[in-house]
Order: sequence, then C-alpha cells, then structure tokens
Amino acid sequence: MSDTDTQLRKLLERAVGDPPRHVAVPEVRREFIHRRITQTAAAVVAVIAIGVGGTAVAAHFAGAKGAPAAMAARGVPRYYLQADAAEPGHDPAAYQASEYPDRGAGGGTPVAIRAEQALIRRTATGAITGRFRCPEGTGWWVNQAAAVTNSTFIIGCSEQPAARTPGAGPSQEVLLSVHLTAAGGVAGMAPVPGGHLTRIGAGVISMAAAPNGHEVALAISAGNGRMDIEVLNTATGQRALWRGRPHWKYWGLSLTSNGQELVFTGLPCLGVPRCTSAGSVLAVRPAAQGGSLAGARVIVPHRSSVTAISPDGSVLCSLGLEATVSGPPPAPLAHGVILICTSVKTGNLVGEAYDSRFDRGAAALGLLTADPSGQYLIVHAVTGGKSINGWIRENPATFNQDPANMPSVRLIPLKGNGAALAIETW
Amino acid sequence: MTGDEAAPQRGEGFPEFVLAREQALQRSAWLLTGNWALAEDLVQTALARCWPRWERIRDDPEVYVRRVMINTWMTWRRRRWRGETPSDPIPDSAAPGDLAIETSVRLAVRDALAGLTERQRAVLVLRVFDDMTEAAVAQALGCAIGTVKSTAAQALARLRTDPRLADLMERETL
Repeated sequence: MSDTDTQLRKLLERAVGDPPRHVAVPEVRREFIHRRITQTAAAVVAVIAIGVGGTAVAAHFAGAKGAPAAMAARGVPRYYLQADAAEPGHDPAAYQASEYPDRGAGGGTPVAIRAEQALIRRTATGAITGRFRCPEGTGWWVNQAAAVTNSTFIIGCSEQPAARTPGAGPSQEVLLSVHLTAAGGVAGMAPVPGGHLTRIGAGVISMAAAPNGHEVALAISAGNGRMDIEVLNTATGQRALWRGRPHWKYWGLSLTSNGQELVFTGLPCLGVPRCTSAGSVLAVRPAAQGGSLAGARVIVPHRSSVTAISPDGSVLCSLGLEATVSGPPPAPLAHGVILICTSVKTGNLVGEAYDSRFDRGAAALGLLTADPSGQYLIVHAVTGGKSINGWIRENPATFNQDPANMPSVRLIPLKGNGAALAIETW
Repeated sequence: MTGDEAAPQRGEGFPEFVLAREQALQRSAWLLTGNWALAEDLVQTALARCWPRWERIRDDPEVYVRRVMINTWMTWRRRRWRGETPSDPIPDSAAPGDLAIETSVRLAVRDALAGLTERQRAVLVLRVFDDMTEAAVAQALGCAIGTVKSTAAQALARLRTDPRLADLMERETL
C-alpha cells in the first residue's frame, strides 16, 4: 500500500467513526423472512394476474417482484411522532401525578396537553425528518396523536386559550390524518370525517386509533366531575358515546385492530380529594356501540399508568410506575418502572420487565405506545430528574422471564427524551 | 418450508460472523452511502441475502458478503432511491472531542466520495479501506484485476485533486 493509500485510509477511518447501532442476527432473520414473504406474495400476485388479466398485466406485476428491500415496510417503524408540551412539567405531569393519591395529589381534573408542534423522527438515528403545527393557526395546539400505520397518524388539534385559567378548557378539537412521505417528511394533512368536536369540557385527555384506522377512541373530560369516551367511525363520521361513571377518570386508551375491543385505565378519583381507590384496567366491546362505562369489564384488577392492547386483543401490556417488584426469595424488592404483559383471556403473565433505576416516590409521567403491528413498544417514563425513552425490540410475548430473575428493560434509546415529552407514538 | 428457509437454521457460524464483522461492514457501507441509517439497512439486507447461501460461502464469507453489499447498493442507486434527507441536526446528541472538526472531516470525505463513480467508490472502499487484495476486489466486483487497478488509480487521482481532501490528507501524515 502506498503512502497515499495509507493517508487516505486513515482519513476514511477518521471520517467513518463508529456505527451508532449494531446489526444483530434477529434483525437479519426478520429481514430474511420479510424478503421471502414479499417475494412469495409478489409471485402469487403475478400468477393470479396471469390467470385473470393476461400476460401483459402479469408482466407488470412480475416487474415489481424485486423491489428494493429498503423501500419495503420494515418490522420496526422507521419513524415516530413526538411532541413536547408547551408547559413542561405541567400538562401531562399534573394529570399523571394526580394518579398517585398516596402523594396527596388527589383526584385533580385532567388537563389537555398543549404542544406547539410535532416532530417526525427517524427511529434509527433520531434525525428530525419532518415537523408540523396545527394548520388552523394561532391558538391551536397539538393535543393528541395516534398511529394508524407506520406512515399515517391521526392527530388532535385543540383550540385552547393562550393562558391556562381554571375552568377555561379547549373550545373545540379537530382530528386530522397526517401522512408521511417515504423519507419521513409530512406529505399532507386531511380532516378526519366526523372529527370536529365541540363541547369538550376540559378537553381530549387520551386518544387511540385502531390499527385499521376505522375507529378512533377519545377520552374526553366532560366537566361536572365526569369523563366520557367517544368512539369515532372515521369512514362514516358517526360517533358512539360511552358515558362515564361519576367521578371516574379514564385514560390510557387502546383499540384492537378490528376496532372491537376498547381497553383503558379507570380510576374513581375524579374530583375526590386524597382518593385512595386502586382503579383497574377495563374493557368494553364492541367499541363502536357506545353505552355506559359502568358495564365495563375488568381485565386487570389494578391500576396502571398506561396500557396497550395487542392488535389481536390477546395480550395487554401495562406500564406501571413506582411499582414494587418482588419475586421468590432471595429476589430483592425494587422500585421503578415495570412493564407487565398479561393474557387477556387467562390473565396469566406472558412477559414482564422492569427498570429499577428510579427512586421511589418520584413517578410523574409515563407513555406506552405500541406500533400498529403490536410488535414494538415505545416506553417513556419520567421520575423527578430522571427519564427513560426508548423502544423494545421484542414482542412482549417473547420476553417472558422467570420472575425471580427479571432482566432490566432493554430499551433502544429514542432521541428527544425529556420531562416535557408529552406525545410519542409510531 | 423451502430449502432456503431451512438454511438459516443450519447456519453454523453465521451469528459469529455477524457479531464479528457487522461493525466493519457498516463502516464500509457508510462510505458507500454516506448515511448511517442507509448503511445499517444495506448491511442488514446484504446479510439477509447471504443467509440462505451460508452453507456454500461460510468457508470464506467476507468477499461474498461484500460483493452482495456492493451489488445491493448499486441496485438501490440505479433505482434512484434517495432515502430520507433529515432536515435538522439532532439537538440532543452528545459527541466526544471536537465535534466541529470531526464533522468537517466527515462531510469532506462524504462529499469527495460522492464525486466518484459507483465503481470507483466501490473499488476504493474495498481496496483502500477494507484492505482487500486486488484479486479479492476483482472477485467481489466481478471484474478483471486490471480493471480494479485502473479504477483505483482513477479514483485516487480524483481524490488527490479534490481540494477538500488535500489539506486533510496532509494533516493525517503529520
């Protein structure tokens, strides 16, 4: 090798640095399976096309067989949506802190999140590939977001007063679908049919979209010590009302892929000072029917910060904060963030993991979001000055562990971690 | 299950190869793509393509994997897939050392490589960065050794005259 080669090589090595992430065998395996499925599906389509449409059509489809793998949809969402609250530590934290009655927070009225803008970030690098504000202009805030596909989100924009004053909630909320380009930019927005909400009391507190995009569920603080849940059919614009029980708070909504099952956390503490009720994770079905939430069935008989139901409705994951983790002796007690996944049908534990880096008594905020496939979970938690933000690679059902030897949560970090983070979904 | 699908189950040595070489492959891929995200995609795709054939190539997989990687990259380029163009720096990332200098080096190298033809860049990465022999490079690219020599010479000549790199290369010798 000549001197020039050596110099150049040193320069190249210096420029390259270290890769930010590792390529692991499971990823390669998924890629391989994905390619095989894509190729098989393309081949099947081509054969059908030959039979139905003749050789010209068949040739067209066969041409698509070798689409570059990088362009095809991957298992892990390539992008995630993220928004910081305009009032860090106030909006979401005030609401979530009220869920910890042992700290004397009592049953405060939930307040709607206010974010000036939302960012689209690339999962692999955290690079910001797009950003948007509510198109309605000044006085409108990004309030909620939920993913329908890896490239389509439904967001809630609410008109709220510039300054928070007691009793002055949002005057209206508009739901919009946001579409991303292949490169993660914002391709456009469109109103969701039936997505213009008025008379929304203190605002929309939680939102979930079914992975098929046909239903959107909204927990609305109706005022007068009551919260309701509305389920919107995005095709027809019709809304079904699930009337809440007096003094019950509802949040942490999630929907199964067929929109049938609506799961949420309920706590009978709304407007109840120093409430000590435990609450529970509840479900109603069919979600689009409406009715009384008094008839909701209990899935998990204890409160959770936030929950996510798998698309097929079989597994429920709950993110608990300030949990006490214990196992058979000599397993130590630990306090921190715990992620528990249980079978909806049997109630049996199918997977759990925890992160004990947090101190007891400081839990404030938690976000748990599953991607539309239900395979990848975003976990965000803030306790005092510490926070974690990342995603879990495995299907929850695959990290079933011996309770005596639970591993720490293996989170792949996501950029944008911070106490102000109020909305994060993919 | 097809034979190919069964192959990964028998892929003795494949996990070890991935563990040992994925970082090096990613570095080479970065020089080709100029983008870590694409580099990761490229390595993952190349490994997934090699996996079904692992039984045949496992005695000397390096050249084969790199050949697949180069071919995949060229295919992506031909299809004119641009990928994403991040619009903003990441505000919350930390980097050791002098970030400005490292960034300027990285950008200068990336821009200079972008001025080469696909084949020149591939030869340069394999021959200079990966330190492969001319014969191995020829095998990886499916061309004659003479072609490798001439292409490498053209690439180096082009980089030598690149003002963005000239100064940096001099400093590397100090």
